[in-house]
Amino acid sequence: MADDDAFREFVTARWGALVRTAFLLTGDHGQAEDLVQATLERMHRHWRRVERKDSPDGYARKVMTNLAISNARRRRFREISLVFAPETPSRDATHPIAERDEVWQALRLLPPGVRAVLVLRYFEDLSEAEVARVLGCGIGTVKSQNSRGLERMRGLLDSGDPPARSHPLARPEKKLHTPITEGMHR
Amino acid sequence: MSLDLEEQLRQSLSRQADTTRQMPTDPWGEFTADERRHRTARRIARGAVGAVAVAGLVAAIGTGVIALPGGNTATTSVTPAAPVPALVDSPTRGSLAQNKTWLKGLRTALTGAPTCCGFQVVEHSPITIVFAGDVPGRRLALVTVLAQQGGTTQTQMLWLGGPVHATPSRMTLMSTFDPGNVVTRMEGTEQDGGYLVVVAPDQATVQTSLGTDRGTGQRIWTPGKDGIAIVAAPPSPSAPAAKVVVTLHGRTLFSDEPTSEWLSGSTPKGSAVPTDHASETNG
Repeated sequence: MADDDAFREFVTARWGALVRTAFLLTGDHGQAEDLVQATLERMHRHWRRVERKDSPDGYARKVMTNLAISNARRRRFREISLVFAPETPSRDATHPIAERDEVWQALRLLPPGVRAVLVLRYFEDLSEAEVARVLGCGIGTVKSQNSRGLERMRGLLDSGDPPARSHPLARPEKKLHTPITEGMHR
Repeated sequence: MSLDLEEQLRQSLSRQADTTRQMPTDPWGEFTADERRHRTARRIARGAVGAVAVAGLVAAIGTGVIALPGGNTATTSVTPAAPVPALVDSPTRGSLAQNKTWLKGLRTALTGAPTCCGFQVVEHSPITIVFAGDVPGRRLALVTVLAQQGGTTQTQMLWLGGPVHATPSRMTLMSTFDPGNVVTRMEGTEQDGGYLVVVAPDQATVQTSLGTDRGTGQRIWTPGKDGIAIVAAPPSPSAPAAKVVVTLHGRTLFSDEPTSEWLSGSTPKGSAVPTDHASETNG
């Protein structure tokens, strides 16, 4: 019972923060809440161990990020592109909202693993070492994914076109499988 | 842009996060209600699988497909539809299929290899190499392993890639996904083009198309062989309008566009289409 009380406390305190991060990882409100639910259910099953060995926040972040990456790879790309389908703001560097939207849309076009690195770095403010721990990979991989992601975003934003639909990766008929690591060399 | 990209990204993420709905008044109540629903759904699913299995068994006994001891063996049996063989039951295919040293090296490289994104091949995992060989611009391997990811252990398929002629230790994990009977992958760049590869059960008929004839507008189809198709994709600013159709015993197993990763303006992994003749050692 004490275990359940502690877990209940965790859910109540952290639900909102988890949903915010989940939304940035998935780009969809419904999927974000499903992702948080799946994460919490896993935590619930292993709560005693989580509480004893890990930081619950760290464990939640790890499970949620990896589930998000895994789910995104399974999902067809056309599902993602439909989110962009409505009118896209025209590019106007002086318009802060349009600019923000474009940054967000460019982020959404990145492979899920790269997107996760950027969300953990620039929203959760984790260090490269902490991101590496969450993703279970080396710091070098995080660095390369981070710079590759920013470079691709720059390319999308500098192309002069709104990232949505005009970019080949945003074509609704495409499915995208994403490289998840470059660090398997022994 | 007035701000550098990293700062813009911070602001954008923060704004977007604020669009999530307000915290429910009782998150714990919502969590437990959903958890109960999920648990019930899992039980129903397990029950349904069991019921189907029992019904199948009863039907099989009834029709004489399965003979009971002392039963009437003269009963006319109903020939069931030919099952679709699992992809993992097909022999290893590809240009490296007979290269036992290379395949053995790949198994060794996979076991316990440090990977990314929380993905880890479990110790002593059975490893099935479904495909291993060179395609235009890459060496590829498609394998099935038991892997840990996101706190769970499950069978996963992996695409591993490396430079043409790469040794097993130079193969890199490119993607993971749930096992399927038809696996497709198209990869390429604006400058160098790339490839389309389809891996299906070995008796399957594979047809691939990377575009249409300009004169007639009809798709141009290229047949594969033994359940495998490997086609070079020409350089193009965007991914070719590809289509894959796979049939087996008159059944369509797959009719869709392939999974695609096509980069405009640069080459995957940030290098020219890789070649690595110096590292060819067959093991």
